[in-house]
Amino acid sequence: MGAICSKQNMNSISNPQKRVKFATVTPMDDSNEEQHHIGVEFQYQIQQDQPNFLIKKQKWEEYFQKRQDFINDEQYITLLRSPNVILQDTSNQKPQEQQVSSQIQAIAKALQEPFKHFNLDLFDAYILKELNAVQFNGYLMEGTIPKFRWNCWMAQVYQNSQYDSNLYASLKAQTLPEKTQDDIKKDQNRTFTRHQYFKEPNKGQEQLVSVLHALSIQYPEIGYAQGMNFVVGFCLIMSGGNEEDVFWFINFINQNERFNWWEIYRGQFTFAQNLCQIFQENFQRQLPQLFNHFQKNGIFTFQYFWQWILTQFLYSFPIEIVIFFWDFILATDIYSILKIGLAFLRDMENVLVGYDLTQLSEYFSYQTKKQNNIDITDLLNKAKNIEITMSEEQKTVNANCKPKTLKQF
Amino acid sequence: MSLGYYDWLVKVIVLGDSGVGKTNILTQFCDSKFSQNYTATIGVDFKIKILNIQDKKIKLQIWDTAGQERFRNITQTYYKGAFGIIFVYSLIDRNSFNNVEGWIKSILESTTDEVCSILVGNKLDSQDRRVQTAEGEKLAQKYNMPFLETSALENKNIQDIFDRLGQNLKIRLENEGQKVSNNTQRQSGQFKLNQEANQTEQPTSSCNSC
Repeated sequence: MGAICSKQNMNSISNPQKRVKFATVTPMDDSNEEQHHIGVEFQYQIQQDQPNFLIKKQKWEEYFQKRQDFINDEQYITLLRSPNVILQDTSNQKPQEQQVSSQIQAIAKALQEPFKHFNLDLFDAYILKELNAVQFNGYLMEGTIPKFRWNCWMAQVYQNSQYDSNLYASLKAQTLPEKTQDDIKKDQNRTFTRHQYFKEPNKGQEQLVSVLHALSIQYPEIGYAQGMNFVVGFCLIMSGGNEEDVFWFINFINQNERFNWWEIYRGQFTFAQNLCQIFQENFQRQLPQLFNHFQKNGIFTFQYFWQWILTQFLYSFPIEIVIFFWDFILATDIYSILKIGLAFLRDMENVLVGYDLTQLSEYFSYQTKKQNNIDITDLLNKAKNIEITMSEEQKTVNANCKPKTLKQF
Repeated sequence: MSLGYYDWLVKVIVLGDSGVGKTNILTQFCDSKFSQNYTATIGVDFKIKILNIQDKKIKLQIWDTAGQERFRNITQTYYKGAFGIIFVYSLIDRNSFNNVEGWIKSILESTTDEVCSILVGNKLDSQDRRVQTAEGEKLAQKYNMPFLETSALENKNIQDIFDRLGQNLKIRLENEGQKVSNNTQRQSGQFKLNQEANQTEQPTSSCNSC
């Protein structure tokens, strides 16, 4: 830096009249439709017109109905309140019903204490998951329906022993370091700006700040990093604005060794960088032609994958698509982010190999954000069959990326 | 898509604290608009724009970076090969001005190449100024770079950032071009001369990290 930047010739700037516009106008977020509603209603708007929606809805409703077939509501509530109670009167049940009924009793008993979360629908989902995790994951992987989605996600990671209904309020009341607070504030009105819920400071924005605040206290070494705002904002939309649930969901998912989500943001981003490296190596192995094309054009993996991993796709793809990515990820593990990414690149390979640097840059920075025409079922089917390989060293790095100091639950 | 002839392809990085208006400056420059619904940038977003400086066309690949300090070390890896740097602070955010030197030093640390820089104080439209013009000028002088106060909201002085930067880039590139013709062995991955856009473009030095 220096001499070549001297102020000479500053006044001989070319005549503005002569300027020609070369760049195409790239539509930004605000040219897209504004989004309304949260929770089930929001998801319903997205899913109701999908061709297989009614079939899927029936499948899921039958699945949830199963619980009621095996155990009546009265017995169910009893179990929930006092898991050690022995249910009466199972003698007139068919053998299979008896078996499931006793399984449910065992699940309740394993909780060792009453189911602490107040939401009965969550208990439903939790029981189904505990009864047959393979089946539950299989269903979830193919996408659930609005009515059950949030509870399925919660049930997948819920830990009754950790849940403490007082914790969130107490964390919210504690003071954050000023710097962290400033960082959170800066992104308060810069998250999902297309969504009505986050336009007004007193609704979504306030909840966003509260959850990020509580999480920064819960994980003081991690604090706040940009990217979290999209994850928390999305969870607020999906849960219907239930900030306490969102706090717990992220807590649980971070403590679950299949995910350890918040570790992505720790320190110098060791976990995220390692995942980035693993992605790159698998990309090179599995799609060598496209990989070489990117290399030749100077497109680094970091340039797009970093956004994918830091926001679980939320920054780069429309929410309407990411919902199903999350069903898939929640049913599996964190490596599904890499699998979905690879499946996506493979699908787009024919187009992307024809793109030059300009087109690739614009594609990854702007166009995927509007890419609503992805065949999700097909993409996720492909992702299912992708294998991610990594070195022993990379495995060790990932294994060491676990939650460390924690506030006592 | 900016197909067609250009003289040079150059990588430009926009640096500065979170929320100073980096993305809005670029949106105003490239798309001639200001978005109230702006979103915090994650990682790096790219803008491409061809700049006409006198008889030359300079194609800019502009890296719009995330401003949060925690990401600085990560982003730093990718500064390599940058030919132009735009340092941005907000006139209404004192800290963002105080941190500019940190951003400048991060460039000095990570690249040995001579780069063309410019210092920009944004949000000139706001009434709540916390950094005086003289302070910005002084800092720019210290690091020998041009200085502008701008408003992305009102589109004030935005084009000037790139015109000034472009002037310096042109001088620099022409000097570099002479060096290249004096010594044909010399390879530079930082820019390419006389290329069609659909040929291989590589503004960045090849680096195998992801």
